[in-house]
Amino acid sequence: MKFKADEIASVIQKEIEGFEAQIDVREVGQVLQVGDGIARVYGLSGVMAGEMVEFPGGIIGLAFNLEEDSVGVIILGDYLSINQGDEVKSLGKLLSVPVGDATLGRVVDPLGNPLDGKGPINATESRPVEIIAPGVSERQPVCEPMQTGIKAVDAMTPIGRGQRELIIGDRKTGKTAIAVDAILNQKNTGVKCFYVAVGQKDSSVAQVIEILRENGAMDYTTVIVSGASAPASLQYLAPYSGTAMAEHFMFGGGHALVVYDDLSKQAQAYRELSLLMRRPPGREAYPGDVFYCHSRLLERSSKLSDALGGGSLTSLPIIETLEGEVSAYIPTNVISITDGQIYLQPDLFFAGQRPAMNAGISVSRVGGAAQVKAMKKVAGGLRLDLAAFRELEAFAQLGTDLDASTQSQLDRGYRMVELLKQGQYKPMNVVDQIFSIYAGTRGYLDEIPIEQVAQWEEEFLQFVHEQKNELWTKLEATGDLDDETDKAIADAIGEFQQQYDGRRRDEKAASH
Amino acid sequence: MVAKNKEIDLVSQRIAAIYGKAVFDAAAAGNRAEVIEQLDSLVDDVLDRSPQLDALFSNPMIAAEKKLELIQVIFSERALPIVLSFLQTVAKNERLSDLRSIIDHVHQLSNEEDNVRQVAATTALPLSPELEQRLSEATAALLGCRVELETEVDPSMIGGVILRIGDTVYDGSITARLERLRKEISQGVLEAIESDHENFEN
Repeated sequence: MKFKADEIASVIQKEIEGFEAQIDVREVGQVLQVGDGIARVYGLSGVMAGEMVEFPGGIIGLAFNLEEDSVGVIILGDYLSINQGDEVKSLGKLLSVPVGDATLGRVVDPLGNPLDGKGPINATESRPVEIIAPGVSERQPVCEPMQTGIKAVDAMTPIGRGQRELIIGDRKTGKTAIAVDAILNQKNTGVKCFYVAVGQKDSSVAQVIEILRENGAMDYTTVIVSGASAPASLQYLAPYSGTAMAEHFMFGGGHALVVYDDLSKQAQAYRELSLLMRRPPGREAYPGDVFYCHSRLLERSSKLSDALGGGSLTSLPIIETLEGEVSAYIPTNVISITDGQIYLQPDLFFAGQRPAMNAGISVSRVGGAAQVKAMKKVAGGLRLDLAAFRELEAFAQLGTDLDASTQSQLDRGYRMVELLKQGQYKPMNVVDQIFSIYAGTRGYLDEIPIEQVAQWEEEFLQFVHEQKNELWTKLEATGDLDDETDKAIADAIGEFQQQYDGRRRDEKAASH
Repeated sequence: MVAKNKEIDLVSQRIAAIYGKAVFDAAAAGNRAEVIEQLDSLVDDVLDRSPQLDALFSNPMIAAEKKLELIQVIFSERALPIVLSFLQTVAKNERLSDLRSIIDHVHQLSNEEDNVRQVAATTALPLSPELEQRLSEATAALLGCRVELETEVDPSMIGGVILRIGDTVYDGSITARLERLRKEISQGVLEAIESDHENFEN
């Protein structure tokens, strides 16, 4: 793209004509010492906690610690170019980030600067990064479902719009995959998505962005990146700025989904900053207010009252545990803050059950109210049944003889586990999910060999789409499972089963 | 007032605040002016003129008794009783290295008491006495108190004046204005390009 010289010249001339020379009044201080991403500043006597300050060269800082005779500032940028004795000026405003439609489809840093090389973000509005969460009178209970497209999640731990559902598990158990699937499934729902990557390898973030792009999810998604190489100050800030961008849509009456990947890294960044600021260390050397650090962030996810437009902000915080230790400091904190958790277990993951969700200790405290009625009916006792099945399974491995009812419970369990397996980046429509889970929980799969369950499901859904389309559409429209629909589905399964058996016989005959 | 680019030692300042307050309160209201004048002259005429003494005072290797003897010899005949005992106390507590910041602090206290504020004015060219007079009158009117004007010359600011009162800077320099103009132009041009792609493409 080339510039027209005279166009530029006219713009510049207009700017100069409109330029009003005013005296620049600022409050200043002087850098006493700088290092490790923080600076101690003398002066700035009127600065307030959380206020933005500017170093020479336009580097932004945040007043973090107000002490008797100096101010501790966290530097949001390259601290190596700041020297002792440099003048620091307070800007008299809070840190804010650009928000609005212009941010969608972009990859930005926690200050809202573009990282994707697609030019400046032409946002007309901005929002402060830290705000006080909406109060009780501004909220209403969670009432709409936020479909993740994952059978296991939508059936057993349903998530509602405005809920905070923690995804917790060891490394490499598919935590990010669940969050990414949830984002992919928001296509055509009008939900805006925000993926906040904190302390992640830049290569993993690039991979996530590529997947979002390939699946057309970048159209409604913003990725906020502060990678492992970013200063601790930016890693600490990233979740707040991602939330600020998402809140713009919530307060505008829309719906947003924000994924914090992951909050354990943010807690570590906050610990680093706090220790450098010489705040006293507490348990696991985290500062005393690390709980507040997370609670004030997650409280901002909410379902607003109808008077405020009824917008919502759903969040999926991710916490990485070490060796399945959920009783460590940060995991217990975040578990207690959120409205439920999806617990992913490495042994399930390696046994091929993916998503590797442990049904026993995964819960959703509020999402049930928002679940589609039909799903609620078909998946009612599923979570408890599966948890009971896991116990029985351990018992059955002892090789004892089992009575018929126990055996049938085991058979049902094996098939449900098989049915809940789902490929990565293959979110499923909720109506499809209802059909599948109906077949599983009502025992229609009990006679199908375990290794054929996946194929049966695939062919069955194809059958429903092709031959029972009106039933599918009806279920989608009503969302309820009345007796008539219930019977229609049972009949459809019967009809399909005949076709299926026929086809298997033909295949067998052909192979002989 | 802390001069620009002077190293700030927070510990020394905290000590200075304590000793400064003590000597300021000890100097009875009657001869406070006299005491302050003598403390000033201690810096200007003694420490600045004889760096050996300054170095000796700041040298931790020399015992406090030696320093006390020296103070007795030099000042017993010449100094006011309060100034002498102040020096002796400071020497006894091995705080002579902080003498300058203590005296600075005494100044601050007396300025607060007299409702005088220090203002640092930086200009590109030296101010004429007449201009200096006008500037201090103008700032005095602005602040509603008497003003002690310190001037400094910095040719790199091209023109205008920068006033520094406490932690607040009133920047009317040409460099600051040019910088603002630069920012506004680049912002304006960027917005023009963003909002109106076609006009800027060939």
